[in-house]
Amino acid sequence: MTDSFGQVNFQRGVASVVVLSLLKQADMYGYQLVQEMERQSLGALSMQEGALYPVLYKLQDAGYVSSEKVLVGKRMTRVYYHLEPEGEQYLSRLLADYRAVVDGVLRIAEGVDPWKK
Amino acid sequence: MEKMTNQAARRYLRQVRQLLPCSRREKNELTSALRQSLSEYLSEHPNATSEAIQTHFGTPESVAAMCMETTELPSLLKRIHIRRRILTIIVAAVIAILLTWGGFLLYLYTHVQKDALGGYDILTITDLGNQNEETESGSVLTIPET
Repeated sequence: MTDSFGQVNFQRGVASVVVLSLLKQADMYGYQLVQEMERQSLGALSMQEGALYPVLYKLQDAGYVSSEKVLVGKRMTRVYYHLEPEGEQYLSRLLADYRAVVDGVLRIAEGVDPWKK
Repeated sequence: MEKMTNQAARRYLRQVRQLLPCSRREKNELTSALRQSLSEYLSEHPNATSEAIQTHFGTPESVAAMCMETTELPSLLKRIHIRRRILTIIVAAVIAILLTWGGFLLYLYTHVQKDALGGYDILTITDLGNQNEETESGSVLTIPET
């Protein structure tokens, strides 16, 4: 997997937004989150599974996400993550901030100066 | 939890744990989650190499970097200050021990040497003639003229 500017910066800012948004769709386990991230973003976003767990831990610690161990097969357990109601409210706030930031960046990048007459 | 038999996986977990810049509780939680995922990955790829594991899960450094990225800044700064303080205390303690030990050795050297000479000081005689020399210990040593 090659690192691109988008992928590196994604990992450093919007991981929480993406993870919470995916969990809003359905309960998912770690690798499933990574796969869905790449699939739904059409390859624009990707994250290695190991880097996902610090994000999930922080969200769990804050009470936005909960986890449940589910028996898979004979002896293996898999941890599924679930979005809590507080997490859904947090996601709304995060998305509003994220839209404002992206809007601001695009305005600057595209040379749209709101103060120019 | 099932014991991990793949050596590369065990080494990977150990490296991640060593690099994680967080509390013990968080390290335990993160490595536990990672171990669980690794077990599932290894069930499908039992002979996975170190490279394959890192390609799938990320390098230990990238996991640690994400941990740092998601840590609140005040908490991160507090950990840095605590580590710096501990390092300063250790360095100061080592210097104090070295100075004390050095002083002790010097004391031993000067006093053992004196005891070995039966309590007499060493005098260097440069001129042979009747001389009465008074040593530091107070005894008088007469050197006859030859």
